[in-house]
Amino acid sequence: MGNDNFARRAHRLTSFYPAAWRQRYGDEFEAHLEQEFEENPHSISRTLNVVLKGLFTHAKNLTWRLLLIEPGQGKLRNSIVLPVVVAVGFALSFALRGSNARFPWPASILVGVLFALVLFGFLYDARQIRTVGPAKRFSKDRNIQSGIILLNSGMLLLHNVIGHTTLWLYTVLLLDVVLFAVRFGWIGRKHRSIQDPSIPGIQGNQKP
Amino acid sequence: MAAASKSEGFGHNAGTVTLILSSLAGGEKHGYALVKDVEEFAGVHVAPGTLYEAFARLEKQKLIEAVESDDRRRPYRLTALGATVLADQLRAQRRVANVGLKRLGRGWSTA
Repeated sequence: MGNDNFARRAHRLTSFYPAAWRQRYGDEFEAHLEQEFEENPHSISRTLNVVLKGLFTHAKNLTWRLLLIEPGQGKLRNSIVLPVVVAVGFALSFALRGSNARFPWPASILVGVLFALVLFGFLYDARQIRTVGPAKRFSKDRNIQSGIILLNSGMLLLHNVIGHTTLWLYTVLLLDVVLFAVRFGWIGRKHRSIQDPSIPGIQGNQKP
Repeated sequence: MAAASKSEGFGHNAGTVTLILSSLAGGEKHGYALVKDVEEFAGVHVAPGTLYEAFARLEKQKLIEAVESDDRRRPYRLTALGATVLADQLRAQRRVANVGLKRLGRGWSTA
């Protein structure tokens, strides 16, 4: 009676994990949970731990799928990090804008174009990642995204020269410089490949 | 070199990973036996979600490997790479412990 109940509960908890994970670890995980139930039938912290880890595993898989990335490809981090940092920079800049800022969001057509270019860079990278072989991926992407960032910086400089200097613009400009440096490996070279082995398919340090 | 980069990659899970690898250093074990072993030598209970998250990661890093078994409870064992990484990690922890204890010895009265 107890065993059936424990088995049902273990099965229910395991269902919080993605199907691929369950296929590999499901059976042994259920057996493990059943043993834990026998020793201590009720534990809120254990239930929470299993549910949260299951949801976290789902979220991790979903994130990679949304980014259109095949896990396991080295040096993808920059392609993701750059647009994400720019987007965060935009959001931060917007949040920090003064009440008397002359250009509330969207600040101008230029900013709209800049944002569109960053988005284009991301989509271009995503497409390249899906369609081009691993060996060829990064020479082209590197040029495209660096170009976008350069253009992006140039437009913001122009915007400043014209006279609309706000904290917002300086923040974005600074971000651009940092991104440019990252893109060309002047900073952050050490961390330019994905090494998270928890991502399915990644086998440690992969050379492109 | 590879071992060093793997141990650097433990990140915030370093504690759990060290406990799991240390337990497997004593021989292959399935999850539940490992949890009991860790409880015995470290006084820490590793929750099931945390344990299997670590198993999945360590298996992909090739620090541990599953052993074929007819039992539902599949045992895991430490690989040669896992042993090297664990040794590096424990040496690093010993260095920190030695420094801490030495400094405590100078001027701090401890119970």
